[in-house]
Amino acid sequence: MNSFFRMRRVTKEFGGLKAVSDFSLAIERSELVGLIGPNGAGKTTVFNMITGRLRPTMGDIFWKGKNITRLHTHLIAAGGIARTFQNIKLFGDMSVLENVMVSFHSSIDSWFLSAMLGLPKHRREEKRIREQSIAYLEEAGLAHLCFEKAQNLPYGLQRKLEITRALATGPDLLLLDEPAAGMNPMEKIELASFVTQVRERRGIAILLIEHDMKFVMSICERIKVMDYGLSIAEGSPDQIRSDPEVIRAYLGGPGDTASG
Amino acid sequence: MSAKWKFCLNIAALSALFGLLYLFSRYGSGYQIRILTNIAIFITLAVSYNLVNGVCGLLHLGPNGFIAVGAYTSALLSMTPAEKELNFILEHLVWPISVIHVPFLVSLIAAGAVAALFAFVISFPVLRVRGDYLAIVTFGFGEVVRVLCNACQSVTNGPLGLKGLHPYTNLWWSWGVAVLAVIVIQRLIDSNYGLAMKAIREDETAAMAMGVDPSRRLLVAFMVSAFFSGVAGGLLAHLITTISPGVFTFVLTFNLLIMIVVGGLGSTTGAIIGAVLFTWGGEALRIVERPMDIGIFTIPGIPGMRMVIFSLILMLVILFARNGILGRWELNWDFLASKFARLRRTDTPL
Repeated sequence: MNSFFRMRRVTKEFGGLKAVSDFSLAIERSELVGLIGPNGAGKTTVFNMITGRLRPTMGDIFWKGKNITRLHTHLIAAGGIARTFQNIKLFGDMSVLENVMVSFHSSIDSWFLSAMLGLPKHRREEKRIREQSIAYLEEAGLAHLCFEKAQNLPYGLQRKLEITRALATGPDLLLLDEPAAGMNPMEKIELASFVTQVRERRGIAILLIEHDMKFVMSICERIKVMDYGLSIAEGSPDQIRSDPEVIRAYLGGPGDTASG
Repeated sequence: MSAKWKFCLNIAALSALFGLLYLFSRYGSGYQIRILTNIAIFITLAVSYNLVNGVCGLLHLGPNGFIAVGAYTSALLSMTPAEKELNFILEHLVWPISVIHVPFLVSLIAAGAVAALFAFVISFPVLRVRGDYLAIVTFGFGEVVRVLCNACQSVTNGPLGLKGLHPYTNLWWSWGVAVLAVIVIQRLIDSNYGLAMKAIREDETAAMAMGVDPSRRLLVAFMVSAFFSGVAGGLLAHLITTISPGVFTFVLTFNLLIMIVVGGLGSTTGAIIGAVLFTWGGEALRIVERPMDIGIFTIPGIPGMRMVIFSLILMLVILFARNGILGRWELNWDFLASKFARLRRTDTPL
């Protein structure tokens, strides 16, 4: 298993319900892949399995040649897979800067006792983390909001902060769960350029769930389509646009007995 | 405000505090000194309790267990073998403890260490659960410790308790520990470790996804909190000089909870204010229990009246300050500067 990221025949059952079945996906370094599908198709379940929030019933997930299927969430995060959440999960009562500083926690190189005693080594670490966090916020254009509480930011900026916070963990693979949800067209255009910029500058791979077709088609190189827990299509945006299976999943059609 | 300024102000404030304590130790009455000593012990307890309840957001209801562990550890270590002989009439004290006799300072450190060890052991069941379940498990721990103190006669002397401890605890010991606890715990809260703890409080799922290991961070908080609770327990034992299982009931935990909630959950200075108000306020209100002469008629002293008034005050505080007196604010120099001089925070903590 020498590929960058690979899911092999992953299945997740909740009781009798198969949320995801026999799902395989490979992502290469610095690729931008879209994961789309109707509501309830199992997209977020895929994310939760990758990040260790859910354990697959069957199948394996490989990250840089290692099997991470049963690893704890925080170890997966420290290993270079970061994510955002569908319903924004910021640390609401903490400042914007503090939100980003938390992301450096797994990289801190001093013991808690040296923090309590205020040893010089710990102070250096704190300074490093603070400076790096501010650099990330400057890059995202949020530096002027450093001391604002995260919960007081407008919606679009909360999304942006969540992405910045995920980036600050220094990932090689970034999972974005509906980053454009609830945004107006202007914000979406801005977000699209932010995401492509991030990828170009850092060379990280991005896997993104999104409902907005225009958004996905415009920035993704490859798209994977899911429906009822199954992978129904994979290919370039053009291929996906004309795929009969995809059209049926989204619009319904002859042979589709299940309505809605 | 620059770090240098803050440092100077901190030194000045500490000097003022210890100057005041010196004046009290010279000219104050025994009663006043006793209250001040009590205040310091409860500051230590409230601040360390706030680390777990306020900063980490865990509803931990077992600090009375850690205080009891600390009190017994410290007491057993600081008594001379002859004194222990006198205390243990029904059952003999088990061997190694019966002959050990260490200075007060060592016994305090041991009290903290043993309490932290207890915290480490019970963290395995406790930190697996959250919310109400965690409250029940920790509450159970507090009760188990109390019952064990009653039952293990050859270690704790059972319900008879330990009597005739040396009254080592004075103003300096108690305030020294309180200041140390506040500084050390606040440093932890201000560090990246504290941020991780707050992140777990705000959203544990997100914290994990950012690479924070909740069980290890909470364990740190839990053990540090238990350490200082244990030390304060040792101080308490040598202040009241007689301890028995009845001293460490759930009421103690309950009082601490009131202190940190009234002060503002998650705020260290709030916990300090809560501890001061609660400890000093309870005594100051004794005047309402005295017979009063209001010209036309006289009110005979009503015993217990102060608790009625006190409860009313607590209710009013919570009614008008939902998040406690300080909320999650800290009453630090930045806060004071922004309040009084209307200085916007411009050059502050970057």
